[in-house]
Amino acid sequence: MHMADALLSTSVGGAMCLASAGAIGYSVLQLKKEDVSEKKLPLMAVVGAFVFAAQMINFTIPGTGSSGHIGGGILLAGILGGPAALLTMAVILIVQSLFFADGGVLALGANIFNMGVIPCLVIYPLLFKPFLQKAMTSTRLTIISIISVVIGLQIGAFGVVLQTLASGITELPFATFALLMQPIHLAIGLMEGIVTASVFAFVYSVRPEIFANVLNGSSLGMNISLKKLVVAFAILTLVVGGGLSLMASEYPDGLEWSIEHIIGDTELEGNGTLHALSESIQGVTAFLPDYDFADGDGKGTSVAGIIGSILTFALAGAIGLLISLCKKKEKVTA
Amino acid sequence: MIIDIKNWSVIHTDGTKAITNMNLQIEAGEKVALVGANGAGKSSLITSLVGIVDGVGTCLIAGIELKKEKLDEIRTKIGVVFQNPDDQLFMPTIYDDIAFGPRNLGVDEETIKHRVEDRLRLLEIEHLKDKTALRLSGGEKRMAAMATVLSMKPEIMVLDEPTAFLDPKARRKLIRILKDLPHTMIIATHDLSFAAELCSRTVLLKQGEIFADGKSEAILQDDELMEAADVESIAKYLNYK
Amino acid sequence: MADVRSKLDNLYTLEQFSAGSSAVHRLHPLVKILVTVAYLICIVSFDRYTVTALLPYLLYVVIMLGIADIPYNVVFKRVLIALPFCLFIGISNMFFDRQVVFELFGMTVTAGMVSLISILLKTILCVSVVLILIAVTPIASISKQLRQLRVPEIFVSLLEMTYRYIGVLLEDAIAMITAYRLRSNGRKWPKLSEIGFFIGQLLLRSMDRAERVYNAMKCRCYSLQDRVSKQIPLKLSDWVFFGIGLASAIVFRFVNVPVLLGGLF
Repeated sequence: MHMADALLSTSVGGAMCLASAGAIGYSVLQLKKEDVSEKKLPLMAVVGAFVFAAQMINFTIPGTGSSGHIGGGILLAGILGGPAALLTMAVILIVQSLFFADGGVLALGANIFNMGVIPCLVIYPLLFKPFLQKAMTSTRLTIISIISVVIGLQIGAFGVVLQTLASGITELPFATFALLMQPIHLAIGLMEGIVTASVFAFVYSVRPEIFANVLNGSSLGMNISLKKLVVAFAILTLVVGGGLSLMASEYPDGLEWSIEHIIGDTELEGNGTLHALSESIQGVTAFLPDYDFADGDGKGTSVAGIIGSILTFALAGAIGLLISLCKKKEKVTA
Repeated sequence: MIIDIKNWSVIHTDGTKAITNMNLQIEAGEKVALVGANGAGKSSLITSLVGIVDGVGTCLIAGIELKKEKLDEIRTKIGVVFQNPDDQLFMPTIYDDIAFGPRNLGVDEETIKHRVEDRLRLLEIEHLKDKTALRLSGGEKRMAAMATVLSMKPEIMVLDEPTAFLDPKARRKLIRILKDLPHTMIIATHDLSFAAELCSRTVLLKQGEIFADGKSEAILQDDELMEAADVESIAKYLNYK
Repeated sequence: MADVRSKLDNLYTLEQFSAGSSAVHRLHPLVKILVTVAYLICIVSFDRYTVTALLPYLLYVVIMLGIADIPYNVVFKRVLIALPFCLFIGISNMFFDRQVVFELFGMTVTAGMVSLISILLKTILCVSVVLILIAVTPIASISKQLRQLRVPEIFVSLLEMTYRYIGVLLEDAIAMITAYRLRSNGRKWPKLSEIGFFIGQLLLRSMDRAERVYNAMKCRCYSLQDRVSKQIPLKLSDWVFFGIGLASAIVFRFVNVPVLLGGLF
């Protein structure tokens, strides 16, 4: 589920970064209000590191021989509460992207949103917490853990689909992409849900007081029944999904109504010089300015492009070699 | 008297009594070994001295009475070196770890820098300054943890099981360095020969009470006494008999 | 045990690199962060059919890796991690975007193929650019810089401490897996019925540790307050690096250097 930088456009990546930064800011304020952040800090850090380590532990999925591992959002939220869990998840994702190339850096906003904001600030306060506040038993804990993880992952995966399509990187039609992503993540979500539930069940049997966090404090969804919420989420998914697929089928090129396009077609049109400038820049920069270079002067450009590419490669190689030679010399003399 | 404990009791939240009506006086500069079987109350006593667990009774530390609102002051007087250095080294570099305490006390960066470098030199770990704790040896981590406490300029040092995770060479170095430090020390340990070598006085605990208190050589070699406190004597332990 | 140690080894390797003392190591963290972000934005902002215009960015990678003395196989390993999903998108483009772009030595090249190459190139570049930053800048410098940039203290402290305890917790987890494998009769991973207990144990142990860490912090008079440290002034070399880095990122973005080069012949 970790999105790479190469799959996002700058506008989508930037927008998601803003959204996630907002959510993080909100969580920081929330924690300050709670006034327990001081004591919570080491707990968040160590439990965050725990999630990281625990993701390394795979388990065998019965009957398949393949293996999976735990997710993080709901597990963290159950122990730390929503805002603290979001911060912790954000930090985990930052470390993963910086140190392990697991997810991109510009894509952090999108990843934090899909894997942090959704489970910690949406699913946890609306679904997980109110359900357990009504009555806390290990059965209910198990049920709600599985449901929360599955729904969280479904929405998250849907986020990945939308963000990738809006970035204009993929040619996959919306429906195909969604039909690939959602079922795969349903399976993953079920496994992660079961593992999260069994970890919670064990912790609850040994140290039930850990869940005090869940049971105390106000909750947004106190008066909404779980059934209604699940139905609401299902409808939301259907409406958004259905609407988008209708739109996508009207524009067979995928989601061509992406932000860049809207700007390109409307705003710049009125501004003659700017438009001309941007076109001329595009002409210089893009190797393949659009689909139609076969009949334009695309061919000439491409030959020059190929020769130039080879030269660039050679240049890069030569510089690399030169530096390493110099370094070796330095080492020998030193 | 730098530590004066009277009628001191520690009761855990689950109701178990860890320390019962203890009286203990320690003079400035003394090095006291705290010996006893697991569960005898060593850790409870140590942690209650810095207010991590609450105690009942009176406890004067360097003339300050142990109370909630005086905790920060007391914690600058007593430095605790915990058993597992990984719990104590939580910053990105060893330098930051050693500077952590003084920074919280509002000491300016220039002074902190000198102090950190001085402590690094004192404990012979200058080479660790910019390292992270990730890949240090047990001995290096122990020294670094001690430096984090020493940078607070404590008068009293409390060490919980300091020889844990150490190889013989690092243990030797630890003894040498601790011997040279002028601080009052309370050392909880199962390592009896370590206690014998470093501490002139031994306090033997049993079930939350002081079972014996006196010169180390007398107590640690008293087979009957030690066995009565569920601790094996040094002589038997070293197979001298 | 190689499979479970790889993450830990990765941390060790990066930490070793970042402790180096080359010219790029000595640069101010702020300029390194800014140039990295500028590069990422410029690379990502190309459309999905760009190939040639991306190539000049390789110069930065080659030069920086060379000066910092970081072997290329570290880059390759990281690219492999980022690759699967990118490949999935790239290859699916090959199926859905079959418009013929041009023919090369009798082979038809479709727009989908071009976009696949473009995605791969972008992946390699983005991963390398981030790796370069991390391999030449210790985490402590980065977090200090984040404080300067007024990122909330709790977030920066959390980042520092999480990073610190990942190593510790990975060791814990590895010890548990090792102990498990020694008695599991050849099974590599716990069964689903054991996983709750297995991971739950690790969780409880880490929570106990958090408690001890908190105590150790309290003993050193910790309170969560904003810390402002002195800003290290930028040196001339920092400005030079910043200028060249930013300019090259932007020039490569708007001028297709390979096409210009090729046009000379």
